[in-house]
Amino acid sequence: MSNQTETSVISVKNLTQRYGKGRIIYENLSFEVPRGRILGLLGKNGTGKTTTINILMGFLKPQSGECKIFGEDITCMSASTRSRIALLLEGHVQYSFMTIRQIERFYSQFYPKWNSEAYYGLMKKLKVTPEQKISSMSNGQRSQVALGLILAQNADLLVLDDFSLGLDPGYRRLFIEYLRDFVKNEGKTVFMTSHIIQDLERLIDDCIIMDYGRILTQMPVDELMSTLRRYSYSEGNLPSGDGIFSPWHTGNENEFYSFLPESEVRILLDKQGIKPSDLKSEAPASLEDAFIGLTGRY
Amino acid sequence: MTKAIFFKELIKTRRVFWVSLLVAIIFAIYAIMCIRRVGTSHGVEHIWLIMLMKDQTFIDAIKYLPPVIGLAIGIAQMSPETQQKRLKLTLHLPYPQNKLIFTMICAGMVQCIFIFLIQAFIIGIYYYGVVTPEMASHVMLTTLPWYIAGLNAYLFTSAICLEGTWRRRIILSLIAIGVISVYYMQSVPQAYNGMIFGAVIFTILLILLSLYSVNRFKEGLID
Amino acid sequence: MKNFSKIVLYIVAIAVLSWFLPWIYALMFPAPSGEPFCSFSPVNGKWIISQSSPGEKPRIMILENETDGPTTTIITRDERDSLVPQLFYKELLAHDRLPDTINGKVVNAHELRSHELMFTSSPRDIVKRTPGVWMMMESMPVRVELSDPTEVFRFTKKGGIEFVDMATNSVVPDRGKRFTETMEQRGFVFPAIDLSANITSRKQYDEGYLMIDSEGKLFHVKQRAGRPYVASISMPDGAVAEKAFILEESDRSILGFVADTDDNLYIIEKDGYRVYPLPVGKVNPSKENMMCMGNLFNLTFRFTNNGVSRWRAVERTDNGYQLAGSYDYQKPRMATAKIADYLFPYTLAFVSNSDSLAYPRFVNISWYAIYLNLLLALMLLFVQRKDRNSWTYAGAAVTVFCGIFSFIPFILLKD
Repeated sequence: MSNQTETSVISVKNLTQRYGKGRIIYENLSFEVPRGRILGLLGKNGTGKTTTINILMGFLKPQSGECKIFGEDITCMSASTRSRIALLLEGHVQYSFMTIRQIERFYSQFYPKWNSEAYYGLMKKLKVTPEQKISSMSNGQRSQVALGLILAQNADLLVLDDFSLGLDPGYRRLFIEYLRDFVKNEGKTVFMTSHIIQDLERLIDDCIIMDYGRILTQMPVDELMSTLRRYSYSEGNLPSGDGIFSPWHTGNENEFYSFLPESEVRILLDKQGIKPSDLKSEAPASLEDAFIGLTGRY
Repeated sequence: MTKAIFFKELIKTRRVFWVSLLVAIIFAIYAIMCIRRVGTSHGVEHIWLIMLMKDQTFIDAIKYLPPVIGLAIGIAQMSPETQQKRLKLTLHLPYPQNKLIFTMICAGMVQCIFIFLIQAFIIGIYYYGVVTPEMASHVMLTTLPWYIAGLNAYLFTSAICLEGTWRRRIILSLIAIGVISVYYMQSVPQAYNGMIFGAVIFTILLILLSLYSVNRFKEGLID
Repeated sequence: MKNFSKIVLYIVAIAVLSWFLPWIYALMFPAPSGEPFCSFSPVNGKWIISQSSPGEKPRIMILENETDGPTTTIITRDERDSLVPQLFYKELLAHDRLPDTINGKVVNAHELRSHELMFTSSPRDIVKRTPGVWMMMESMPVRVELSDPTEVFRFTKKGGIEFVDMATNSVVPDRGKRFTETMEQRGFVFPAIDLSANITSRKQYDEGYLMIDSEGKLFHVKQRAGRPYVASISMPDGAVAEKAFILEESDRSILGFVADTDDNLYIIEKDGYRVYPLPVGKVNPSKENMMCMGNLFNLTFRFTNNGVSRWRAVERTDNGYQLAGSYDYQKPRMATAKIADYLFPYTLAFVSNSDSLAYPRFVNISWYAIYLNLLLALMLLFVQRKDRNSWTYAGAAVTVFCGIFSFIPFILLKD
């Protein structure tokens, strides 16, 4: 049942999923997406981002675990709850056999809060006629049609699967700006993935960083950027153990990432017989650096 | 919303629908021309004689057309749904999912039935003009299993297109060939009268195959 | 809904395999023909059997009725020709071997030819749906040759007969009324439950129809110079006619055959419409193929059903017809057909040699297949031992009855 007072729009508990009967994608995955927040799900290819969205949208039956959206179990989601969720499929897939006008006419019948102006406002920016078929458009133009439809739905939750796929920088920027203005002004909740981390940096409030089979961290982006540190030094071996992420040797430099402050890092290194004289600590330059720092280069 | 679903289905199938309708009309006219040629060269009585004594209906030309039309409309309607897994968009619509699929199937069936009715109407009108009503009914009842085969072909095509795995698609295709060939086992006119009612019930039940394919899609059973 | 959809899919798959597997099996292992052809010799009063099997030289035998069972004596073709002169008189004449008389009957080509009769009937021609209109020929054409019919008739709901002109597709006024009145005068109760005619102009003469009315009475109805000819034919001993067959053969003395509701077969002689029972045993034309070859000496019948051919020879006596000889032939079952009994618990068929209808029917039900069924059910439980669920147990239960037809779907359609 929808519940206007709930604080978590999406609630995932102990979700376990495998590839068929084989390799585990993740086990006991739990997270929540609070109301009014924009949450980015980050992870390397194959960590299960799209799988998670598929499960949340009811297109994949999880092996175990419980997922709720607006307090309603996703396995038996009602049509009214679906009307509160705008979904962008990977690659901006839409009914490409329709024209710009036809697709608007079609969707408008399903959504009570449909906002035609939002759709046609964005369409004006495209150099296309309302009678143009979506299949004859470029990837970028199609992404705007998909975005326009999402905005027009005026949904409470937006689920966007890899919105940047196949878009050039101009269209990515347009997409992000339009989306950001919309969700900030309207107080929408967004759950999104993207393989281009720098796009998300400008957009998301919180992030979940996934590694193979687990969640590495879930926190606000600001907190991530302020607490995660990149440590580097020139002498000695690479450290290991809890709290150390992505130890890496490049040229004459050793580097790793950690949430620990420098004083604690020095103690940890000392315990492992590493006594660098030139240990440097710096904040990651970007969300992408932080992501690489946590997940490693390969 | 139901209107919107019909609207979407019609956009997908309209070209194939019009082409199918045109082909169905051409085939009906061709069958009539064949009958007229027999009448012109051997006399109208010869048509009666052949019909009554040789169990012929002169409309074998249209025999296999309904399954071909069913196949074409099924592919035109359902393959865009499965391309790029577009079915996710459809299933995400705020509309009860089973009702949604059922409405889509109805939209396809209505188109098939419309084409079949037009074709049957053309043939029927001609026959009612040249032979007795009993003989015209005899011919029309003979065409009925072919049209049901057409609806079966459509429903199987839909289920096959909506199915997400190739292995299942192949199995469903083999079952479809088996089922549709049943309607062509006996060429004697009106042979299928006794199973028409059962065939109609069976056809209605075949709608469930598409629902089952969609259910499997929702469970992530896709290649 | 999901489970119901799944059940529908499984039932459809089982049904398709239930007809397809036996069909493909029969296609792979076709039963050879090799049905013997029998003729009854007026010379020695014995059956002469010609039989040919694939890859073997044809054999011609005399069936000797010994006290401890029938035996056969192989004979040559020339010997056969002399024994059945009614069939091979042309060969005998060519070699000047045709006797002048046989059993006191004068034998020559004309006599033999004028008594020839050939009749066949198949349930496929009887058990089928007709449009409800029939053609009527003119039995007394203006010219010598018969013409193709120009009118059809139907039985009206009011209880009568109505004629329709084919060229104009319009009702012919009066003719129907005349026929209706004449038929009613002769005691015909409308409508007819059976009609038999040979509608073709390629015959020597036309006898119109043998019709059975709604009370099981037999009538001879034809059109002579556009006027009705209706004769009531009395069935012996209150027999109720069910199926009639009209003959228009060289031997004009025989009008046709009629079967009654008790499966007795009768012959109808033209002269005085005499109806005699034929001592050939019970015959159901709706289920059995019938053949009759008539000649100067006898009528030889063959009734075929389910691989059994019953040959009967009857001879005309002063009081009717008597059985002269009988021979039953059971077609041997091939080994592949016996194996099929162990493979398939039943066959789902939609068509049959016994009718021209299409509907689902279970045939060849075999309890021998229960062994394989049980084995397959156990195999299903074994193969799916790691993830057995209610479907596995349902599959095993169904396989006990449906055998291989359900085993395959429960293996292939498992999610």
